[in-house]
Amino acid sequence: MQTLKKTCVIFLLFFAAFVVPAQNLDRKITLRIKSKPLGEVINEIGQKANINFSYSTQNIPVEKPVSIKARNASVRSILDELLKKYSIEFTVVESQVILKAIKNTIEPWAEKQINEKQKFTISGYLKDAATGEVLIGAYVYAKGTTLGTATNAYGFYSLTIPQGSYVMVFSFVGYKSFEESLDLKENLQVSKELEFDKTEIKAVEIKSGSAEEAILTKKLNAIKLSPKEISHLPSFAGDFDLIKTLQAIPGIKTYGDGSALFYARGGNSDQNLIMVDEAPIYNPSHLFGFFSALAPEAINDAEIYKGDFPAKYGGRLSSVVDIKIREGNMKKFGFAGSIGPYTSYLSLEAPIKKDKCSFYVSARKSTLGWIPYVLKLNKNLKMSFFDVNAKINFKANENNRFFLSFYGGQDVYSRINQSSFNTFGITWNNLLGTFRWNHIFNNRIFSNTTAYYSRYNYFLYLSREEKNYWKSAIMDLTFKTDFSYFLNPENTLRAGISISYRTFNPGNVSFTNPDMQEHAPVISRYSSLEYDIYLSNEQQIGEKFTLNYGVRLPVWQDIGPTTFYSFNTLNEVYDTTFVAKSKTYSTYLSPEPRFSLQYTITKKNALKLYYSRTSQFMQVLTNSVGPFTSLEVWVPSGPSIKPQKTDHIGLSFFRNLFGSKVILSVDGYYKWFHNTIDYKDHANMLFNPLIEGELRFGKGRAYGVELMIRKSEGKLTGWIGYTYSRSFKVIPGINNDEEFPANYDSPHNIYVNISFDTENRFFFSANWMFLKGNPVTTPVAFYYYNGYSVPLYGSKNNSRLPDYHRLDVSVGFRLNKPFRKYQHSLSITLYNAYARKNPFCVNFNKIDDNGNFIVPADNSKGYELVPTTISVSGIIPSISYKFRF
Amino acid sequence: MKKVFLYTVLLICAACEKQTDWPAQGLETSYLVVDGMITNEVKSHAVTLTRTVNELNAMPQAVSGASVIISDADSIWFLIEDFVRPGVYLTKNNFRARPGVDYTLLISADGVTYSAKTRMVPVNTLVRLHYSKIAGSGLFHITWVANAYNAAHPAMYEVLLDWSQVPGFLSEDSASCTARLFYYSLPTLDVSEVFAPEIEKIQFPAGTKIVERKYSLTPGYVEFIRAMISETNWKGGLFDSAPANIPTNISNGALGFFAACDVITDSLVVQ
Repeated sequence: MQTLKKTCVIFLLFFAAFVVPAQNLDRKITLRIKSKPLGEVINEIGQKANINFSYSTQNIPVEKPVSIKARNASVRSILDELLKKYSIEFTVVESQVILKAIKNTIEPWAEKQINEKQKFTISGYLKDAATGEVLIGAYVYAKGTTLGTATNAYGFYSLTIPQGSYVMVFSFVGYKSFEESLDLKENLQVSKELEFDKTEIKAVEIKSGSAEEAILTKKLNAIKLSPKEISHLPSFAGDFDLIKTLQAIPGIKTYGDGSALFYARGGNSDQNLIMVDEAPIYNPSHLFGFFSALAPEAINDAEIYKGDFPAKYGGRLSSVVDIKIREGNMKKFGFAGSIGPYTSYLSLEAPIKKDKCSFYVSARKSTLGWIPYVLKLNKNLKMSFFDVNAKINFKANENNRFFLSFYGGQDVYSRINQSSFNTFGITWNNLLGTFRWNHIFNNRIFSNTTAYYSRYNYFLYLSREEKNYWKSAIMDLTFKTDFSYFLNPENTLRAGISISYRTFNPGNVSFTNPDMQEHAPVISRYSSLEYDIYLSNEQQIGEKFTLNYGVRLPVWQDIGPTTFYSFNTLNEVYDTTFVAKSKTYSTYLSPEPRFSLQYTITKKNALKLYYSRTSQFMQVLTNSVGPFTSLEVWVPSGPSIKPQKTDHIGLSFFRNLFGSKVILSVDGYYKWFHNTIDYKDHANMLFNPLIEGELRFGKGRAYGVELMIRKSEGKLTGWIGYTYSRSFKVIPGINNDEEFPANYDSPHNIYVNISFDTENRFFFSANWMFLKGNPVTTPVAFYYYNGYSVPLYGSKNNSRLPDYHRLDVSVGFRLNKPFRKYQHSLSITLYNAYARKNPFCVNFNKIDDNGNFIVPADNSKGYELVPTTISVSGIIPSISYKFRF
Repeated sequence: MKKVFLYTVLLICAACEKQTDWPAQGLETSYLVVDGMITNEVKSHAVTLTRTVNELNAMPQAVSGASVIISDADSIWFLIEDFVRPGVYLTKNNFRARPGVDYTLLISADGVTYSAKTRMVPVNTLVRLHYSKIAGSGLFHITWVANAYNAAHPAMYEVLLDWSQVPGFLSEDSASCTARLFYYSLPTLDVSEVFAPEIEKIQFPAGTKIVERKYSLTPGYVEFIRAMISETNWKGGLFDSAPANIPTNISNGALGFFAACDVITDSLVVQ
């Protein structure tokens, strides 16, 4: 009975026989009340003014003691004064004066009151109204409260809040926000389809939503990029590129022109986990890094973490790039494509069964192959690449969804080298397949179960004619399941378990000539098992604090069959061990605690402190210092290679300025690297069975401050990012055991982006970036041996290359009115608009032969060598035509 | 317009290189550099002693007045500085080194003693090099000497070209009509080797005399040569390895290498 009383709407009718005119509100009365419950005061006013009040005890704090003094004042003015401070408004409807909370604003006292009430869960999916694709990272919150959440990677959300009436807001950047009043008195499933906001074309925005929303949903650690955002940025050769866009993010540094290598907070380039629909891609580049392996048009969403890693992520030390491929239009058939001088692509998507099942397929191919023929260049030079994405998305029912996705990409590069080889060539390919099952156990428990296969092969052809080649490969087969349990508004539990089986071929040579094969070195192949389990909790403590804590427990096991070598302190082999099939010969357990504490100062300001430990059990072994991906050898941790680890602490501050139009973020961090890897002088990385003996292990440290100011609203948008960061290593046996700056240590990075969108036919965007020159090792002296001029080096990385800076400009023209069914546009990009020559290396081994720099061959002549620098390119203009239906 | 467009495409494929002013930092003290080799040929063998220089292209300072001795278990050979070439020390007597024998080099220079040990390994058969005519010209160039990779029999190839006696070149400076080229067949393969920068192509006329010499390499000498080429001929591509000092078998902080090589020779005339 009491419950009923609490939950029902109470109508207080005084003098029910009378019809009370609205003008009674102008009646003047006198009141002198001290510390009486609000409900009683309302009654007294009603009696004195002959007015009927109607209100819900859930929304009106009837027990709240109030005091008021009024002498001969109108009822209207008394109510204004009395109710305003409790955000209560009143309206006259027929004979009633209705009291209700203003726009559902719930004051702290009310939250506390309702928190003690029964709680219910709202859950569901948010999707794009036009395509039916899920919206990842969309926000769901109760207006005027601090109760909110964000959709997960599958567009699902779950929000458990106290019983009551709310105005729920569903929002996603670039889409019309949707508001819906809900009277929450039972668990609800609320799925929404948001419409693209045709009046708001956001040109460039690196992070979805406002900082306010991010603070509210505790998503301060992730940086989101969408293809739409990427596509507006000026890009290398006009080919929009997710990986190269990462350079816009403070704390992430790229090597320079055309390079796909990137370094997050002082970590090496192999310490970045890049996942495509949950499966890791081991080489995310085409043409040595000039192009990204992923067509940006196929990307639905990308989240980047460079610190404060959620416990669900592991296996890499420095960053996670979590990419989701488009699911396909559930509503209608569509196609899109582009034609450009370097690449072209086409994609198709359609429902197989409307709102039930859809597919998406895209293919991209380079258009570089014809260049040598047209230019009458060396026709023996061939280079090409392609990639294919395909995905099927099946919604069995509201609680079960299935995804099957595939990615394949291949590069082919070959040339005839008559002096040494026949047709020398390189081929590499990535193959990924993922099956996922989303299951909703109930409105609070969501699970995702994934099985994926990822394979990366690298072939170096010594002679294509004779089919002599060197091959390295890595294969990854993983089964995992993740659970999210939205326990209550204060606690969201996340847990998961995974098991991975991997095989490694660090590079073996295959000759058709049996004699050569007999003498070829045999490099041990490795296999491993990895078990991971994690548990974390996101806990709201009061209104101001959010604590996120968890632990990840990876267990790494190397298993046979293989042969491994044991090395002494002089890095010489002292033992060889043959391991039988399936026998474990090396095990590592590396607990990884994760912790963060967010202090929400106001809804517009937040402070976050975090710590995380990460471990990495496999690494790329290469002593190349070039900016491009080269022959890559993945090897696992084992008896001779201990897992690399980092301890990472950071402090972040976020603030909305100028009414949320400008967002400021400042992030400081310090990282300690353990068992960090470097290489002995002139390490022999290929064809070497004893490759572990070429490695040297030590410690590293990195620290920095990242500043970002961003304007995300209006026709003119953009951001300024500045990073001060340092990265050092100490490796016994290298540089006389003294600390030296890492190859990618670049203290000052600046990135500026400005975008202007007329919201009609024209859009413009420009980037300017500055990087302090990379450290390089240059000679301190020279000597001569057998006609060679040989450099002599002092300390490692004793010099720096000239500073890197570059301006990119992009202009786009929409060739149709916005939001026509068939859309097409033309983009013109000037990469490196002022043709800055940004060198990536300095050399001392060339002669100037009529303006051409060439390595001298005749050792009998005393040539005058000249120091030279090499840069990738000058200005690169490009034009591309894009279409979409 | 078409050319402009195509040129831009080329910019992606071809890196831009330009001369720069990059002085070496310099050393306060110089190091002794040893360039010495003995072979199975009966001759007076040479060891050259110089010092490091602080500037690129600077003339190296010859180390004169040093005491240089080569020995094996049975014999000692004293070397005397060449009057014409300061810093070049020649064995007094002709001798031939033998495979399987350990040799020691002992140098005493400026009050410091340096030593090195080496051993000769036998060389295997020599496959004659290939050359071909350059289209559109009457000149030739070498197209193949050896496979760059050979796990079983690493070797160094010295190719001596001489067209000073070819009609049409008789009046030219003889130095401009000769060339000395080196090729290597190593048991290793490096990324910087695969993507090495373009090397000068030596062209020569019909009638050129070619002497091809194949040198056997010990593992230590292979390591030295591989590092030396990494720092010279292979440097300057898109995939350079980390720069580092090259190893040496000379003690006491000296640089260079003392090698013993089994050599076989072939000669031909370009037709």
